[in-house]
Amino acid sequence: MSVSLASEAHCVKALAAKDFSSGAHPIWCPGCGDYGVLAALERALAAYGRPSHEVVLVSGIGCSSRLPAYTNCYGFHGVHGRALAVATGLKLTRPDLEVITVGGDGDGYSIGGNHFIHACRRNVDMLYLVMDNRVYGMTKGQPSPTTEPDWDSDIAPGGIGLRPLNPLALAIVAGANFVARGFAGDPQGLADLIVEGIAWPGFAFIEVLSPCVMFRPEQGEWKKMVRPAAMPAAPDRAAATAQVLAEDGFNLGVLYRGDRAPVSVPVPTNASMSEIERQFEIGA
Amino acid sequence: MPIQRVNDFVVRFGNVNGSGSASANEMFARAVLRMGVPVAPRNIFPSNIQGLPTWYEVRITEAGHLGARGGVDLMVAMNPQTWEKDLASIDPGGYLFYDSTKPLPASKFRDDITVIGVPLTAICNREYTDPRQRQLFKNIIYIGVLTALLDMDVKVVEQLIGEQYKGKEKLVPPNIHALHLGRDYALMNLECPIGLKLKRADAVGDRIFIEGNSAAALGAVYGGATVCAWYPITPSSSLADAFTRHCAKLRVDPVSKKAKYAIIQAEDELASIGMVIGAGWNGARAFTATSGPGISLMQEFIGLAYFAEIPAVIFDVQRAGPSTGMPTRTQQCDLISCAYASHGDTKHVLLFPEDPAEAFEFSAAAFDLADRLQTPIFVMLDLDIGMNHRLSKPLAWDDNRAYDRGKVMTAAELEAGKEFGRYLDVDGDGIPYRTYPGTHPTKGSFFTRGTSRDRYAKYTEEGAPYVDNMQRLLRKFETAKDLVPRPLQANSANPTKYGIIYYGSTSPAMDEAIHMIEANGQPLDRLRIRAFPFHSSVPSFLADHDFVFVVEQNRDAQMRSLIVNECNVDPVRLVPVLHFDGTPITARFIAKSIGEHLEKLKMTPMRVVS
Repeated sequence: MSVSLASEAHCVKALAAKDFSSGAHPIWCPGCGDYGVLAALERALAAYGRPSHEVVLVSGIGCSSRLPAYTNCYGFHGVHGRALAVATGLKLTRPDLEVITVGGDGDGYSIGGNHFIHACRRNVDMLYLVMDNRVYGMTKGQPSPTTEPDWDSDIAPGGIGLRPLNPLALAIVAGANFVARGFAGDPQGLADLIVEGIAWPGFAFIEVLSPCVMFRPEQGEWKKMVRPAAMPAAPDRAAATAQVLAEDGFNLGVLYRGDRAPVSVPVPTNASMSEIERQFEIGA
Repeated sequence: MPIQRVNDFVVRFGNVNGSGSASANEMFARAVLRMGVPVAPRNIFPSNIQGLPTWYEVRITEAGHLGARGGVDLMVAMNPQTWEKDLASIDPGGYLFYDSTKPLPASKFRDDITVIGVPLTAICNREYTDPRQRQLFKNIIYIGVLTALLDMDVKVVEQLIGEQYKGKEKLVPPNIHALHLGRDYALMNLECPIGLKLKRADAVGDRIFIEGNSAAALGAVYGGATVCAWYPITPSSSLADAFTRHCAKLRVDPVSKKAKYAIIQAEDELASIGMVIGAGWNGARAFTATSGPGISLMQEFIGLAYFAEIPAVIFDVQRAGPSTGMPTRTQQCDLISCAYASHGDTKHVLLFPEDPAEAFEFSAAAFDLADRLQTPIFVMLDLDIGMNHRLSKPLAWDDNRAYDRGKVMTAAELEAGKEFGRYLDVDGDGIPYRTYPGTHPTKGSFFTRGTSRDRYAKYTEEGAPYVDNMQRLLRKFETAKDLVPRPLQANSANPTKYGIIYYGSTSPAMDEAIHMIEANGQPLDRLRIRAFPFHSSVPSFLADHDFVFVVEQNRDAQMRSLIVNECNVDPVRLVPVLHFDGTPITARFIAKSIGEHLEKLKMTPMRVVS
């Protein structure tokens, strides 16, 4: 399936990344990966070309879920783990808006794990961007579903010893059609992925490696480990699943494109009151 | 006139979150304690890891007033972001200590306070080259300045530095050097001491310095908890954290070195409470620790535990709601959502500890109550108790104390032919017998369900057995009134028609406020509620007084609503006194609000004109 970037119909004037900034100073720690994600997102929105008032950013709770407040798009900072539910309701009633959901690994894969699975299944047209730093930052360093089993911390001495969740494999298995991995330290590459994800018809999922300098300083090494994915796109869902289960987690790019049809959104009709009332009339 | 006080003043530090100030500030508080002077420190921090403003307030109080006082006598203003606010918070006659490296115009100050400038950044830049060292040692340097300004025993601070870096002895001399850099600068360049002074005293006694969350976690260990399932949420995470640490020390088999506990960081709060209920159904003592949003998520499961009668302990470390609200600020705002948690007709037992000592005591008691009453028990902490170090009487435990495991029928009893009906009220107290799964091969098994059932746990949709069961649950709630911690009453020396009801973390501020009110010639009787449902002494107290002030830290007077609802009292007689801006309630606030109200109530005798 081919995807056309930045549909021309929306382009009225050239937009710049700064047109999407709210000017609010982020609360993130200096050096946090989320700054890079914010920059990439603003750049991508400018490239995509829809004005900020036609874009909605929905998020949950956590460090990365603060992101919508730093843009001047419509923002919805809701409850922990359930941003996708809000975003689904929003997109189904306002298909004309561009809906982007953002959050972190705790928010999306732990408390929001169920919503994630079913959002992949439903295939409603939106972009879901997860900033994964493999730790709970806001509550001070607890392990998350993607934390390595041997990561030692005060709350889990010696490591939790649990197999980390593979969000990409989960997304593919659950039915997502667009599954990609980006890196916060590569804003241009990430911006390109975001543009492609926004344009993708249906649910698009981008897992972003976004280092936590405070609780996971060793993630500073990620910039040396990431690389553009060399492997060819897998031919089908089973092969794609096997591929993301086998790789080391540092391949960047779109790792799976499927062809399930997105949920068709009913175009809202502006029925008049008399038409509605007629449905309740009794008898001939 | 500059304030002149010895061992009775408030020092507030304004810092940037993540700048390493917390440990230096805490060292200051501990140094005062070591001089035998009680302190009440409070951390006022943002929902942020690094960069936003944070404050640390140390109330120095030889008289032992552990509540927040309100006002600041000495502001240590280290955060330019909050300069205006910090300057405005100083009481008239107070002191401002700031980093004078960058000169500020006179318009930036107030003329009713004493301004003390120390070029901290300049001193650091001269002394250190590494930016991180400049930042960290700056904190120690200002503590050094304080030792001179307040006439502190510097040896005490040196000793604390030695203890803090035990095992990292290399760090001791540079820290002591930094301490003296500040101290020497102050002694040479400033008028020392200022009007606020510290004098050695002997007022700390045998009290300990502990956070409520840590004390509650220890209470859970002593109370027999072996299972903790939780999900990270401020301000309760440190409770699970402390339980992990206490268990690693106290719940490891001495021979096999195997852990005798299970701590599960669940995928969400729904899973946490589900795991707790599963463990409790099996006879293990299990708990979860959460805050308001977690309680909201747990509602359905809480109803199941109530109706299926399964023991569970829930620590709610309350924070300012609704929704995400102010997650790092304190409130007592979950009373209603816990007391009547879940759909349908439900009522739950709540405990209201006042401080870490009671958090320990009630935490342990909660597990006995959960087993005895076979129902969820809520321990209602809040951020003020949970996340601040509090001077507290030593934690007490009787080693001969046996756990109350409640009504559990054994295999021998079943074998002997004792009648078992899971929901049969054999003793008239509403509490039935249960069996642990696997007790007996042929007798005593039952089906646990959230659907309606008869006295023998058999499914039914008949109205009569449903009503019978719901009324038995009410009887059980009546029984709870005499099992939960009783209210504590303190009567004024002079008879009075007016009373005060309060609970939880309001306690230390109330202890102080009552003296302020009585000094004004207004006697009041006090009742500290320690649990819900209310013991009969609560309605008696209401009956004995014309008007009762209900002091609490929420907008909607939630305790007052519970009292009105459960005690059938005329609401007009309950006067709400409400503090809910997220800061801990102060004695000044209580005394002022109640004082003003009492003034209005004062009756002027009517002159009879003939």
